[in-house]
Amino acid sequence: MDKHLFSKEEKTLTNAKYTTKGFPQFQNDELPLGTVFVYITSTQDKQEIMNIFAKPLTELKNKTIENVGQAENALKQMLDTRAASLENLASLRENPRKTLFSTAPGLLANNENPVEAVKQQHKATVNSSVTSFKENMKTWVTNKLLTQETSDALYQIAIAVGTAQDALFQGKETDIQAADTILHSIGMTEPTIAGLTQKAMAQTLMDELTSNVHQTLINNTVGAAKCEKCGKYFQVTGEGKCTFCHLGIGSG
Amino acid sequence: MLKCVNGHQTTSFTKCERCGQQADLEKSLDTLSDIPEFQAPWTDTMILTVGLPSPIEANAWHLQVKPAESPQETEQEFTFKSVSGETWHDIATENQQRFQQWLTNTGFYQAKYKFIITDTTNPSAVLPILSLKNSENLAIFALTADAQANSLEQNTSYVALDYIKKKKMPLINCPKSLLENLTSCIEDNLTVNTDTLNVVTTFLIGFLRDLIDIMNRDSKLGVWSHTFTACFSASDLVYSNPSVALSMQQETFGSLKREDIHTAYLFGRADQNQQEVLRKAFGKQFSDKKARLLNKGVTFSDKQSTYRLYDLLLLLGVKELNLTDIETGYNLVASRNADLGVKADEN
Repeated sequence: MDKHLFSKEEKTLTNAKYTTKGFPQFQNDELPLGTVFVYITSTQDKQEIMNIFAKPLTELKNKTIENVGQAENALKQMLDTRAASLENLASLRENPRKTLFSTAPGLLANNENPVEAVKQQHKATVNSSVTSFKENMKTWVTNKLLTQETSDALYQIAIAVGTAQDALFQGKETDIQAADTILHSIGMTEPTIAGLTQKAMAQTLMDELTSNVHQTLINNTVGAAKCEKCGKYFQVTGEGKCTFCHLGIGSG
Repeated sequence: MLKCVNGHQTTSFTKCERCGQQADLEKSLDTLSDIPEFQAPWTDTMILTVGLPSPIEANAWHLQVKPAESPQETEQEFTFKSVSGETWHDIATENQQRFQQWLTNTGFYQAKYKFIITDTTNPSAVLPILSLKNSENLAIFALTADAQANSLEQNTSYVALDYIKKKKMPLINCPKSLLENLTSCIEDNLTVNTDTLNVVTTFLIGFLRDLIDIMNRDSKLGVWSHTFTACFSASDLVYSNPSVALSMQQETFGSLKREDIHTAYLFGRADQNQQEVLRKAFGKQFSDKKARLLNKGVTFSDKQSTYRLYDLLLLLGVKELNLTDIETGYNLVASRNADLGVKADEN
């Protein structure tokens, strides 16, 4: 995975994929379509025709935004689950009695080691959440709803925020510094996690990191549709045929 | 945790600081499946009081069992619904499971030192004893019924003590009549404190770690039961010197024979000179020539006293817990109600 995923240069490059550069363009009132030229003078008609050309791209963009949004939500859910568990465990570590007495009695009934029971419960929740996130990402990449590049970028955010969560939980200065360095490497402008609560940190980091890379993720996902035959960028899902040349298969 | 493809911990996705390789995203994400390990910081010392007010000890976590209008469990209190005319059996059978979980949740078993102060004549006394799991570093101070107590009190006390005996829990036995014979004034701006039980338990808690260590060592030698005598705010004006005060303590043991004493320990609060005198007197009184003991020892802490007053407590490990004084009352009740016999709830 390259750092350039999160760089401004790459964002500009990938944004270009959304231009209608590959489309037939009106030259004054003439539109070349293969060997045929269509002559239209009305500006409104010209716009309608261009909209028809752009329709697959618009649909693709919407679908892509939806897919990336879904993946971002999965990431957010996983990190939120982790933050909630770590927050609860931090309170268990600080005041086990108070935490145990506020825990659902059902969990502790007939339990010889209630602290361990609570720990195991959170461990299982976190494990299931991370596993579910990984499985979703793999499925979406396999089904070409996301590119490997986008999946990697979301993995990076997960790892960076997760590392910051652990560092905050452990409270070691060196771990917090290391987590800050990792966050900085993926686009946090002023990574300072010290002093934040788990929930506030997960929220802040997720907001900044995903907004930083959101457009890049979408563009990268569109990039999955780069047709092997015609080299155009806007076919992704479904039948695997390029909407532009109707021949190629979108390559990742 | 971010790891490179060679498994090194790194802060870079592109270039590991150790080997220059890129990050392994799969392995790094897998580390998030786990949660960081930690140990819950339980209190070192726990004091559970049953049927009595809690003594004051800042360095311990206090737990209390008491009746109330409604049952409730909090971080420090276990309450059970008080019903008129209830017996120890009613309280124990209705609350045992709830009590066991409460005690576990308070971290009682995680504490390094566990001390129970209980009035075994109180109907709530049997519940904790019956529910307690055997545990290291536990000692019980039990206020017990004597021949003057009524039959129901004798029955309750007998059952609680019998369970303590069966579970082989280290015990300091304190018959109620013994308290009446103890000198109970303490020097505190020349006021007199007549709450003898509180004076005794507060004194013992001051030596709690040593006391529990001693009692646990004794239990490994087969000595579970202890008795004691004590003298607080003793003065040379009364005893002429500390060795006299110590020798007079033995007289309060009455019928206890020398051969029934297996271990002897002196706990004292005194100035350095008094400590030296007491140490020598204890050595002489419990010398090997007089009686071969399994173990003996002296533990002192310094006491600042304007009037050179000192406190001492003589703890004796005895052969067997003697329940004969209260057996009559126990039998009288148990013969009329089989539920109130020890076998009914035997573990």
